[in-house]
Amino acid sequence: MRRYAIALMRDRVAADDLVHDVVVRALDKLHLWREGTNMRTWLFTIMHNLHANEVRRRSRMLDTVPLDAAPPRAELAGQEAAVEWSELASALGTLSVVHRQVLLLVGLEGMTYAEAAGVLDMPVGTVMSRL
Amino acid sequence: MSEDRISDSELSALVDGELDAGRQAANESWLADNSEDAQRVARYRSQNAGLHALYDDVLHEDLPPRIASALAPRRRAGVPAWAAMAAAVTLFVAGMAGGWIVRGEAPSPAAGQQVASAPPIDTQELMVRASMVHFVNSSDELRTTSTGRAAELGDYLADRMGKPVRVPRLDTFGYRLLGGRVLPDTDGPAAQFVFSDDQGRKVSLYVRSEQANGVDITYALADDLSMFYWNDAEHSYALVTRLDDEAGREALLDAAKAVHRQLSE
Repeated sequence: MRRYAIALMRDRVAADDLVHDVVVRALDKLHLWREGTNMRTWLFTIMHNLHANEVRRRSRMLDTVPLDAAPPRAELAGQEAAVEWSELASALGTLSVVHRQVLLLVGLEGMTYAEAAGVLDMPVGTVMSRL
Repeated sequence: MSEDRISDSELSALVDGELDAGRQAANESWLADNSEDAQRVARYRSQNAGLHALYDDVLHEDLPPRIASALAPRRRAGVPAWAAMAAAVTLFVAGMAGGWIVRGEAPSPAAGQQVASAPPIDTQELMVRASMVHFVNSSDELRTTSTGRAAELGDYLADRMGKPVRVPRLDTFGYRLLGGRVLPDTDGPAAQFVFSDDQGRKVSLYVRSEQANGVDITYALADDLSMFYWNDAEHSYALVTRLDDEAGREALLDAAKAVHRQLSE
């Protein structure tokens, strides 16, 4: 969850705030989780909803989302690869939030298109078109 | 292949493992002869690898204290704290959805032990705990035992659990007892026994104190771990391993029945 939140928000403090809120909410709503369903996608759905609320709240105030707060971490990689990855990180930043969400859920978190669609509450076709 | 070129969405689906085996194979043979599309696939794959390179470090960090304390076990009615821990590791507990229940094959541990006021067995908490500690590998915490010294291990565990502990054996199934450890649990200490076969495949048995209505030996899947669980008047048990096939499940069931028999003798 922290990996996705950090990649999505590009701000570690904000990401940890979000994960903290997800944990608190999930504990509170644990009785709503149905045994036999995927707890991981359930948690990501909670995170998506909280994040969407937060984005709405912020857009009503001022847009203060830092766009390049998360430094790329690729120390172990060769120089060339590190450059490429930091380009990837900045390219991610230029995507819309929805694009970034889809790309990260599938490419980073390894979710199926159907799982990502469930988390983001959108049709599977939309997920595919965003990739 | 009849198409002249694979669409972007088809290539994405290929990279993301969304295609059925037939389309996957057809596309792969197409890629073998079409270097341009093969390069696009390689580029998609390296993007995904790049995402992991950029962000996987966080997986090895300690949780920030704020989040860790939000997850700290606490006793609240109806909310098993370890289910919350499951949330932290995003464990996929498939539960009984894909499972099946073995009835009539094993002696019902619940017979004569039903207590009207006892809650149902907390399968969620049992499964989460048993599967999480299955991966605990540090051998210094594991009280190892050599062949024929199981009684010593029993004494060691009994000492720490404050009650007699039987040590189950799975030698007839090809699994040697490596040792056991005591772990904290909500209702007092729990015990874990670790077994291994010649190839190093691991089976573990988790025993936690829990007074609940009885369940027969039941199959469950937690992420990619398989387990059979059951309970008696004072404990619930989960025998856990990673299975490759149906035959493995049958063997695990036989092992679970054997453990059940040994512990209820």
